[in-house]
Amino acid sequence: MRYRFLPFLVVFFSFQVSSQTVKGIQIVKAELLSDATDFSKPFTVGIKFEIQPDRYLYWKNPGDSGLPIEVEWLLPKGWTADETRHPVPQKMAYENTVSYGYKKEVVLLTTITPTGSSRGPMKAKLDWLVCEKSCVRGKAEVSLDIRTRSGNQLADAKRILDRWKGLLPFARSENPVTFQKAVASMQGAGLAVEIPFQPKLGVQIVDFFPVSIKGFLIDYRTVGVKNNRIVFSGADEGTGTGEIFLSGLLIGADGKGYECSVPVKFSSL
Amino acid sequence: MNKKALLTVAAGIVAVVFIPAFMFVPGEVEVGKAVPEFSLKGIDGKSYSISDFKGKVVVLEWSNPNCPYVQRVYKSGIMTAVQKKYADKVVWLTVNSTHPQHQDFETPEALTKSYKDWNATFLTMLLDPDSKVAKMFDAKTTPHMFIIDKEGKLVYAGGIDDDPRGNKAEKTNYVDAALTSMREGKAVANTVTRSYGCSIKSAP
Repeated sequence: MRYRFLPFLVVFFSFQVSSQTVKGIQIVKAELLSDATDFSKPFTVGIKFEIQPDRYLYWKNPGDSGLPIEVEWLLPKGWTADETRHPVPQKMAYENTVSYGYKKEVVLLTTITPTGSSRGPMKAKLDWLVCEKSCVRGKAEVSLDIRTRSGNQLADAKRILDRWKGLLPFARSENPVTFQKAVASMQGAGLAVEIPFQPKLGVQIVDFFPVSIKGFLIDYRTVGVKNNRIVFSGADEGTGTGEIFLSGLLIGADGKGYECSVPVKFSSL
Repeated sequence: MNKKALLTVAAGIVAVVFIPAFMFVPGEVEVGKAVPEFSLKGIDGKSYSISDFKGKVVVLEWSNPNCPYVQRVYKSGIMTAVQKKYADKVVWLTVNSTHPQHQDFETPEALTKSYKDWNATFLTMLLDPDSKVAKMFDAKTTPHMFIIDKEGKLVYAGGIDDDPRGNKAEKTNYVDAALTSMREGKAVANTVTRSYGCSIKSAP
């Protein structure tokens, strides 16, 4: 029996970095990261943005103005990407507007599920709005290809991803509060809502960052937490759905975020 | 008069009862109510008061030529198409509320050129450097659109359309829809929508 020497398929990585420059100055650098070496099971990838000081990118709900980062995955056939996970943002109040976003650096995380025998490359098309006093739209394509990568590079990717996994909000199942009866009152032509909650022992909630609610216009300047109550005001856009889901992040005094969702049913008088 | 509604929680549902709102605005202007008098100077140097246009439909468009959203809706023709369509039917006023010390600030001459290059059609651009009128309307973004009916009542506040990224194959132009309804004697269907854009640069 003759045996043919089969080339040993080695999985390597390389990744492409994309930069956005304005007047020759790099304002945003984007790259794709992963510390995975086993493609037979789901693995985490990170899209890392380095942002010029004083500039910021936006959270999935940008607030009053801005644009969330959009990610379009171009994956090998059969591979799928889960929903992008966003680390807890910071709130930025400017004049009469409130925005939510990231300064200096942010890594968005996604779980990729590979199938079949294809092994890459993975690409992501990115679209963002980066602002300081003025805003600039940015687009890039980043890729994670199969080439040689050193142990140090893998270790760096692991270190970065581990850090940013720790900055993700806690899932709804770990909600540290129990919601109670809410109170609503008319305020002008809009609605002011207070949703009291009882936090678990040792938990102090200091703020609430809402995800935008379809059919309800939130006045972001009014959103917050006062005396263990989520408070916000807004207006019905008139879509007549009868129910909205207030979802967002409860923000702890330690800066940690907790995903929560409260269905709110309303009817007309 | 404030109305308090006690809400029940059943199976995690919080019930809220309220009157379908027109618009929550902490400023002076509310959809469904008369717009208070205000005056601003135009880029042509003349003074304009909103009362000058009583008996006419007025469109106010907050704008900043350095905002990527404004650039997109003009270059793509989204804004200019509606301006042109209603050129002889409404009074279209753009408003610039950029602070004079902000890097986006432009002189009246530069503003005139920018919008001329974009083939914009409006009566004039009103200059609101201290953002007094922006705050009155609670204008937050550029663009941000407001429509006043012939009786001087605000009937629409919100975005130019429902496509912040400019990538929807089918989009709803709220301003066009509102103006069409008004011309047909019908009520505006969407009186309040989400505006999108850059924040108004009201500080240095």
